[in-house]
Amino acid sequence: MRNRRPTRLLATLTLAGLFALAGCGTGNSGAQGASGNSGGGSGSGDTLTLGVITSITGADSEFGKAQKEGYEVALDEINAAGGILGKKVQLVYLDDKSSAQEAAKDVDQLVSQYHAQLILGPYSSGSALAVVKKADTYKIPDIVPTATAANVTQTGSKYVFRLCATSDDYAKAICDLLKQQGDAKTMAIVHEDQNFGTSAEKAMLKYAQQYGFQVVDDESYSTKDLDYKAMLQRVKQKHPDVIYFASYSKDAVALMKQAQEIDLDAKYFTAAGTGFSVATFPQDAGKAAEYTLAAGQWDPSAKWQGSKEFYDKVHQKFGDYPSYHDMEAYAALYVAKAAIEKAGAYDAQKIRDALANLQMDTAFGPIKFDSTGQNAHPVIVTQVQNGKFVTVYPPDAASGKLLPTPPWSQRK
Amino acid sequence: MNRIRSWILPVLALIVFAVIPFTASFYYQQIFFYIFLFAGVGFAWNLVGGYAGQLSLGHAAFFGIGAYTYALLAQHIGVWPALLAAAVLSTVSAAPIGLICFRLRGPYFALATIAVAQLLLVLATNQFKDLTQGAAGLLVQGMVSDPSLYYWVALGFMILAFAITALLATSKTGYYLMAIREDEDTAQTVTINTPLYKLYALLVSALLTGVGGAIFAANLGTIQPNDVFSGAISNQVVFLSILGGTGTLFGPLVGAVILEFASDWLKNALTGVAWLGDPNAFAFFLYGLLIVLVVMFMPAGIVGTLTKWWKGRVARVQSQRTTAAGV
Amino acid sequence: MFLQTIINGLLLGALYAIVGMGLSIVFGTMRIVNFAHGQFVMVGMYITYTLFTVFGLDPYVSAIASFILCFLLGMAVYRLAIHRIVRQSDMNHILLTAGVGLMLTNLAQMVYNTNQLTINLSYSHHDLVIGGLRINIAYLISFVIASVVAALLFWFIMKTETGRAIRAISQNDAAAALSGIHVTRTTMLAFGLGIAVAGVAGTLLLPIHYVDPSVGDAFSLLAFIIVVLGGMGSILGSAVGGLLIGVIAQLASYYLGQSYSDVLTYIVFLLVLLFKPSGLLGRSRV
Repeated sequence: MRNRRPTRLLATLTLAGLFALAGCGTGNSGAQGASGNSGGGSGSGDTLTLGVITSITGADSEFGKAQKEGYEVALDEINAAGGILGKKVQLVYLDDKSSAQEAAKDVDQLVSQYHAQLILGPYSSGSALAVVKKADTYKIPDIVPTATAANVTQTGSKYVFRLCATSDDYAKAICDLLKQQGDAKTMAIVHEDQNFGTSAEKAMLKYAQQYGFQVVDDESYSTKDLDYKAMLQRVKQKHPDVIYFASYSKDAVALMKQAQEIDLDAKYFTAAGTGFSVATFPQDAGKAAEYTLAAGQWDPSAKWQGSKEFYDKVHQKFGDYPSYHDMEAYAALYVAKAAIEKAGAYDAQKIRDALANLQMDTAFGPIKFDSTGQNAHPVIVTQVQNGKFVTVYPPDAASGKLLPTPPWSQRK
Repeated sequence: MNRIRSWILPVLALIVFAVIPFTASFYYQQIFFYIFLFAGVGFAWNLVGGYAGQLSLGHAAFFGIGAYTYALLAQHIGVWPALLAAAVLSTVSAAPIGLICFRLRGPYFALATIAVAQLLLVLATNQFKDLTQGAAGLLVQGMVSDPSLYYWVALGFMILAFAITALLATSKTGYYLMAIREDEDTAQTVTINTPLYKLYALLVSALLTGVGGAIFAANLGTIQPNDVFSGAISNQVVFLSILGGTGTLFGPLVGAVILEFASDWLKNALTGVAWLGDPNAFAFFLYGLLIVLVVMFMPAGIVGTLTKWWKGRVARVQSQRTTAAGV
Repeated sequence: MFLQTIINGLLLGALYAIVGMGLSIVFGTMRIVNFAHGQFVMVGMYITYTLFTVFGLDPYVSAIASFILCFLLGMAVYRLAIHRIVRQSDMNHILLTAGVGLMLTNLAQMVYNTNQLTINLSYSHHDLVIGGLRINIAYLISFVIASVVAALLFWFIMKTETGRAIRAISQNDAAAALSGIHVTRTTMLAFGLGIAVAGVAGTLLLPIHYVDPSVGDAFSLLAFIIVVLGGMGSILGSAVGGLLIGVIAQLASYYLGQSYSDVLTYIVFLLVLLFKPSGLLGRSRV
């Protein structure tokens, strides 16, 4: 009994110390952008504070980081060019912890503490649905840069504006390409079982039917699974001409390596971007990555002005190789700038109307939102050739020719 | 006298809660929404986990069933009938789950409840995709026209959950449940029908948890299986009850207030603290540490410990008075 | 294809078995309900990852490092926290270890972020082909190491002095203390040993699976499923339980679809709890 007391005291002190340390750290938080509570008046003074929701922590933090890099580069450029409406721009990043519940709370926080009239983000489709719903109740426009699930623009909200192409567009682009090739009849869909994969699957089921491809197999998996060989064996038995994957990074690598391992041949290995179009995919999957086709949103070789410069800037500033996630965030801030300037004031309703009628060119291509708030962004299809992404579709954007996929047994 | 005094705290709390929406921002109203919601579900969990001493780690099962029932039906049969359906269906689902899991004791019961919740998560994600849309998510009809009204919905839910659990806990049923917690075999030998009372507690608990899930879904406006069926939901409910004090009337509310505010404060205070790496992870690290410390040094939780301390003080004061009077 | 699926199931099952064996000592024998078991597996994976990327150490060599580091970590966690509540209810075991698991997961996230990390080994995607049947080399090495660990563990528990002490405590700790066994030290040792085996399991998993901070969550439940299926307090039982779950998972994945492997695993678990609570090879539970 006697020696219990000191331990208890020690434990209490430890905890108190940890909280105190946490408190000390608060002083530094200003470095990140507008700090906690002082950023109240967004429109006041000579700075304009804009709210960004993204996934700084949690399962999607890899992509949240990419988005943040895009925003930061755009922020530097805009401020160097005189800001927005003559005011210096500040960004405040709220973390949605990769959860829809937190993303919705972030909207409340942006509105309450920062008097936000416009919201940028979030990253994922799951969070985006919640943010769109919430922003609609406040009647505040939300610019969605990256979330691809079709239903994000189908809530009936008049306040959602999406830059990126959707999972429907991915499926359609792949089907267009296959139709042009003309030698594919049967298809298997293999998708991860969370929001992204399930949306991609739904879209492909719809378009495959429309284009007359027979879906002979539809498999879902979890990225937590240890092994995909049994599932790929199921696919192999159906002998599909085309396999359409919807995968994140590590599972995309594992799927292709295991496909090679079990000799799962197909005329076309296609994918809904993401894991199959991240910069590290060709290196990580090595030879197994060759010939895979991925629908994507952007490639540094795109003809739009500023594309290549953006790629170099991100690489210079952060040392990373930017993907379309970076680019979409970058373009989103420019869209916000154009809308606020067109509205002439930092006012939600005016910004919404400006967005609805906006027409502009960005490094991510021309931007114009339709009545549901969707921008008609063209999808490109890239193929991995000798460890590099080559754009092969559509013809007017192509930088190389599509190569036929040889069976595994004939590859060196 | 004593009766009146025991009402002071709840009435004071209610007055504070009634004033909040007129002073606090929307953001803090939402924070209170989640405090009330999870406190309410915590009260419900407390019946099974606290009073009856059956450690359920799978309450997300009922939360998810309630949420999905509401989400799927609200557009077709209306908002309030859908809420009723959520209550009914989560209660009905608790019967087979209880019959299976209550055949087991101790850690085996806890494991079985996790397995059931995980099973439902996988099924909702994959096998029942036609119904739930899987992880693509469902849009959910709102319950009330103005988002600020959810504050009152959650407050009402919490008061209801508190009233029901308080009534049960202080009745004969409550004493039977505590007898089961202390020693199930002895309870059985003194002719308490232990399986019946455990199931009774679970049914009531599931009903309230299901209603909580429906309110959660309506406020969020969209759900996918991971939002409502996940272990994170189950654990949150358990941890806040432990922190506040299991088997105490107010424990879950105290736990919910502390955890929600701590999580909100840490999120904003720690953003940008570079050496932490990931501030959210640090917050959850502290959360884990807190649970460890509470289990080690304060197993009765905050409310339990304070009550004990208060009773001890009162007893001391009284004994001092009597000795003083004696002298 | 049926035979191939069975073989794949056994290879996968060997990994499951070694995940379960550590818990078999901690929970099955010492009756400490450790909900952080999966998180200790995760720690083993990060140790292996770090040694590989920093020192280029082959993962199968770093199994020894995983063993030692996790052994020390396990003993420390026991001495600092679990020891205080080891005689209290199962509920407190569960809550305390769940808290420890949360700490480990988030500590890993603070150090390594949430990125999914993998190591690229030249042999992790190559197969031996014997009579038309494919055997993945990474899995085969893991299978062999898992068998060796199982054999060593069995020998340790059954034949050594410490092993006898562990068994004595598991049967009756008061009597064990009376007969001169240092109960605290032995329990700490046994807990450390269980965690060390979890660390080795992490090492063996890394060549075939990515590591991220939350990877351990799934392994905790899996480990309990294996221990209960195999039977409490039986290391051999856990080995058999692991192999069986591996085969069930692969058969379900192949014949029904990938997501059915989890569905069937949970259903089998619930059925065993209900109808054969003593497990396959265990003593009956009171």
